[in-house]
Amino acid sequence: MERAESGYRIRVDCTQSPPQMAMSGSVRVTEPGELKEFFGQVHSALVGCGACEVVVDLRDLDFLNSTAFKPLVHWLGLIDQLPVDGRYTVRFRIAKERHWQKPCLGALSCFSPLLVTVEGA
Amino acid sequence: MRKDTVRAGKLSNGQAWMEVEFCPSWGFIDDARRFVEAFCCHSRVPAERATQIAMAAHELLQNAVKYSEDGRAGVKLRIDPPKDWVDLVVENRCTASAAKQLKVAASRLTKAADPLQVYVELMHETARREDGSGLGLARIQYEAQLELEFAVRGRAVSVRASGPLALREQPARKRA
Repeated sequence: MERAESGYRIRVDCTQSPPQMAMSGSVRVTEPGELKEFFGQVHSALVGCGACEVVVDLRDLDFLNSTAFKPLVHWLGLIDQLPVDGRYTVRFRIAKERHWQKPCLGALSCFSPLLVTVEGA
Repeated sequence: MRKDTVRAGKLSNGQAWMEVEFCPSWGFIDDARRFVEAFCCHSRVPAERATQIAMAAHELLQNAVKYSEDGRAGVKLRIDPPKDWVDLVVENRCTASAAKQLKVAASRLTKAADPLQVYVELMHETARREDGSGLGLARIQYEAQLELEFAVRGRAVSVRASGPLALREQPARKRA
């Protein structure tokens, strides 16, 4: 699965174990709807393949505005709605030199501490 | 019609300042963010802090452009190393309903004792709603460690984000 728009790209590979998602560029959307829909599709695919964990690589992600942050929050909400034994966790890989990532993902891990881990902080 | 303007300078007391005023354009917001970050770095603000200040500028400008009524939005930034202070102000004119919405969000954010707590609360609400959430403003308070002040006079809106140039350690992660 892939979503590529002006300025950013999101690629998802469910054939790997664990499944991998890579976000790159600068995600600056004006409305969250389409990204929310995309993450909904990713969620369905991950549930469909029985994933226990997904790795989300943000190391090439230059920026994420708050409107683009909402679909990530919504995605975690979808996982949280699954029966406990059907949930998968999300491991974010961040880059130290991208200074916005640590506090941003730190806050996201406070929102969903049982689902989110942050690597590289 | 007024033109888009960019002005910047340095005062003899060590302060550095810049102002950008432009017609609302989503594309320009990211340019403004990069400009603010470069300006901060040029003013010897540490890279990590510069990134946070630039993020705050982006979020404030995003709101200003989204809700601008008369086609103008502007950002003013003042860096004051001797006083260890940064002051970021974004101004625009917005619709009456947007001004009302901002007052509600402002009240909640400025009364919050813990910026992280209100940020996480807004994330929980965001997971359930479609419209504006105030997440960008909460992000500024927590991630950029800047205090917010709001001034709404009729449809004229001014949002100020300010705080020390030095960084504080983020609160430890809370486990449920």
